[in-house]
Amino acid sequence: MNNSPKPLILLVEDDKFIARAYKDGLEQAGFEVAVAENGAVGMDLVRTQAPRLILLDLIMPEKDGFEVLAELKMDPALKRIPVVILSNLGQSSDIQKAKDLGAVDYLVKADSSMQEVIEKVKIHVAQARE
Amino acid sequence: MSSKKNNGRNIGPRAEKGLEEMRDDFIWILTHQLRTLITPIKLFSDMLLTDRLGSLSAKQRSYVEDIHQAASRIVEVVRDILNGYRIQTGEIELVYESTCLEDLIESILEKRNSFEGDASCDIRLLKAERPICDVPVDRVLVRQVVIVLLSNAIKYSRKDRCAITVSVGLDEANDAVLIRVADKGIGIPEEARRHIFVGPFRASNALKMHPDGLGFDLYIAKLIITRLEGDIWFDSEADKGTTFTISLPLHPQTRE
Repeated sequence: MNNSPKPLILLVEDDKFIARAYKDGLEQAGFEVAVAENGAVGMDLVRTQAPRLILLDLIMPEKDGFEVLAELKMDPALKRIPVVILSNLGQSSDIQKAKDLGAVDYLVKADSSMQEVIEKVKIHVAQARE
Repeated sequence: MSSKKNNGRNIGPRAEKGLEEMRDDFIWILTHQLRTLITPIKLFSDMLLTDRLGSLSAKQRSYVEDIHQAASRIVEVVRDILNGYRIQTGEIELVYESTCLEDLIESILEKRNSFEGDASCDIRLLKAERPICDVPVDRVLVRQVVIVLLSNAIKYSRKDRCAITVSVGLDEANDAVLIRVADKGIGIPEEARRHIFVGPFRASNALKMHPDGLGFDLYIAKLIITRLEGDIWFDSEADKGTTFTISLPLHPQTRE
């Protein structure tokens, strides 16, 4: 497990501006953040870094978020890591699909403030610890 | 209809795609891309406004607030486009609930500060002699349209003469109910009238009063009401006011 006193968040996000914003925002809120620019890199980092929570985009090159989510939930070693979807897809069918695959929460990026994202991360990190 | 295909989206070109599916994809890519482009502008301006990075001067703060507000407005437009499209294609399913119309209007007026802003208007609900109940309506959609009409009525009334009347009534001849929103505002000019519901449009006097609106609201209101098998129209006189009327069937055919 990760021994750093700050909880490690893995952010899987291909847009570099969005990734930088969330990384800085979460770091200012007291988290450590690793960024993966696509789903394939994301899977590698999950295995090597053991994050406390994953913020997962859906539409990405290499491996999309739905594939990453399915793969995580099939792996007994990884399936307990909470995954929060952070996507600009907002259709109820997308949300349902992500939840069916095991995501604990779903935020539409364009509709969520930085503070809302940070709050969600805090809540799910705390719940996962229990 | 192929509008129910949401999963397994394929953004790349596929020869066998029909026109409708290509249009679906176009709207989908457009809205997703716009949201992705606008998200960092919202996030970074958000972060600047928290003062975590040092405090801003009053002027700097007001600029960043403007950036944030402008970005949020784009997000709203994107949502409007998407909603309008979903209503048109039938992707939004209707949920009919037996409703007392006055209760519905009252519940909207209870939350009037969400659309009234800093205007303070005299808004009255004129009740019918007997309450009009058991009307099957999709409350979410009807609420959306009534809020558009109310917020327009407020927006296009002079602050010192903002008086709005909402009334509900039966139209027995047409087996329908009517919801009216009447204001004493600037009115809709003659030359603008035929454009009001046709597409995104803003009348010249509306532009002068509020330059930053986008003209989607009534277009989407019309789409919604059409989907509900109803009708929407208005009577207006320059500088005297406008009355919008929504007519909804008492027995909609698509009710499940």
